[in-house]
Amino acid sequence: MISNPYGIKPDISFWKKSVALPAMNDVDPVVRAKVRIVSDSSIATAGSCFAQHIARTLVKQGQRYLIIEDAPAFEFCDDENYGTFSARYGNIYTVRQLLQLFYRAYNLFEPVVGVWQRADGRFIDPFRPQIQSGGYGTPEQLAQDREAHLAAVRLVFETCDVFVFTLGLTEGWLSNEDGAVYPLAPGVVSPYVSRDQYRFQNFNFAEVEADLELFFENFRKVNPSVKVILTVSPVPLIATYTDEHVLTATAYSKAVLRAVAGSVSERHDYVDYFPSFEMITGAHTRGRFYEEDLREVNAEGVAYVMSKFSHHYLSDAVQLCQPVANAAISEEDFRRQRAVLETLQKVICEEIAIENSL
Amino acid sequence: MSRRIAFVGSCQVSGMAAACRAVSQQRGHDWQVEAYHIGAPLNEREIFRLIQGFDVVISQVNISDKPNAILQADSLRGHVGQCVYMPVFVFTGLHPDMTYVFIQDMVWNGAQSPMHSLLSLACYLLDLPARRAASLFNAYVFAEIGYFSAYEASYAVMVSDFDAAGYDLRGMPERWMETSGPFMYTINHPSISVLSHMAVLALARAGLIAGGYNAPDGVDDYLHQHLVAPVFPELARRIGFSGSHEYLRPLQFGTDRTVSLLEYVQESYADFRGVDRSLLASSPVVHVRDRLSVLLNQAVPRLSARPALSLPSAP
Repeated sequence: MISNPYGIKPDISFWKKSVALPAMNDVDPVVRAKVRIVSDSSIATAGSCFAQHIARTLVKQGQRYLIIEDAPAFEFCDDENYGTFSARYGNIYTVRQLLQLFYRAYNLFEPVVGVWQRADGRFIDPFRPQIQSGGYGTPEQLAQDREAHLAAVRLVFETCDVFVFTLGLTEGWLSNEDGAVYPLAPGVVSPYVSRDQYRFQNFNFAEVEADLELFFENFRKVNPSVKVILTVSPVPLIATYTDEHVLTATAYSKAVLRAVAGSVSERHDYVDYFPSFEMITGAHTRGRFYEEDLREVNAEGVAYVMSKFSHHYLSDAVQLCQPVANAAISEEDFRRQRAVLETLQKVICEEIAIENSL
Repeated sequence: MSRRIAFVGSCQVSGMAAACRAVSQQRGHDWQVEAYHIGAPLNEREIFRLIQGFDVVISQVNISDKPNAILQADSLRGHVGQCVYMPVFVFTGLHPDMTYVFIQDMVWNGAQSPMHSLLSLACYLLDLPARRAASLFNAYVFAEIGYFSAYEASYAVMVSDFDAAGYDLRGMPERWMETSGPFMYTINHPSISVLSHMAVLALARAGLIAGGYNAPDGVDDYLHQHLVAPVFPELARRIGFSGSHEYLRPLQFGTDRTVSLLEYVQESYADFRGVDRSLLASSPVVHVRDRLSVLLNQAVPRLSARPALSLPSAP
């Protein structure tokens, strides 16, 4: 007798039962969480714009969200973008950017070009060009702030228990001199960088995977017990520099990132993949989790994703969701958390700058 | 009870002798306690002559220390009342960056200390500027050159050495750390809490006090007057305290002793410049230099990307 091998599979294996029929918000593609965040776990975040939503939720839920760089280190620093992520690195879109951040933080890679000048004469950091809207008055100020920033990055890497990284893009801009990767094409923010100084690259699967593997290998050397949760941003490309349609370029980019996340998380027991991408882009949503621009994820979508994240990863989420006023915390803690939350409300997104500069 | 007691061996004997005097005072004894640091200034024969007839000699001279064999416990039998062996306390786990440089079999002394920074030496040999060298004192580099495994390894070696001599020091590093923080100032300069404990163990072995006697407090911590190397935060965090990047110069250079890591590296570079480079390349230094060279090179070539789309020229 030939039996149907799918006969023993659970409901989650069937599209109709687990995607088509359930109410949109009941679709839960997380089958098993490899990483459990307990209440005293120190959680760091990094990645593209969407990662900021995760950071905000962690703070709201009273989790121990790690913010090393939480206030200006110098008088010339504007109080801007502190607490958005665990350090003030801004959005990290590509894995190569993350890998280079690691090498820069540990002083093994010192890019040849360390400063750009804007049309208004102010100076900006090529590796976080939007971090301070007013820029810096001098290259020396920038260098000083960057040194403090990279020290904070090292502490993030070394002291977090869980690192949540959101993979954002495969398209990037590289220095022709040393391969340094920028989050933005220099021409978008600086008229003084000659076009022959940098080039475009759309990283392929092999490159993204190799970079991510190398990053993890390095990361575990400075933090052997760290756990990682990978997500893929569901936010489409605002523009592509390839010759493809932005829709297919987006599909390519997300497919590569999703495949790498799957491949790497399968390989390592300390890496988990959280399917926020599928939750927002899946057919069950009928596109309802996007704003009018069909790009930004709306509040409902974020709430849906984060409720599943809390359910599967935050073991103490229920207790920690109690109103803050009832919790036994000091006023100072309360004020600090409030300030953090307020900062996190201000989503920064370099990609927007591309459109604004045209 | 009157006794003549001598401590013979390394720079650690003064601290042990001071602790022994404290015990004598606590217990109302009239012990005459001497400390003889071999080579500073007396040599082994002069010390041998001086300790003749002592009631108890506590010797740190190891069985493999041929030049000082005359001061080994076995050699002293018949010349002194009783002889107890106490190993030299060495612990590199808190300061894996420290090393000696030997030139023609002699320890080469820098301006402030006979100990030198391995990483500084490696960076100097790679012609890296001092500022860059200081920036490489970080967790990733430490991991790659083996500093993080030094604590456990050093702990195991120390326990095994003392075990072999009949002393059980398991759990003591944790206790010292809890009561007074880092228990080593350099790889072979323990804090007084360690030396006091060693003194008490030796005195108990000699039958002068009961086992389990508490090490005395308030004993002069004289090794603290010499170079004090920091336990770097990246290492310290793994053992449960915060650590620092600041060195303390020897007191003889003045009371303003604090030196930043960068200053320390710069001063080390000044020392190194006075020595033939080839003489600095000891085996541990070469190991770190070569590993560092690989790390510095690997971070950059990985970044070279395949040919990609070129940009249109500006309109």
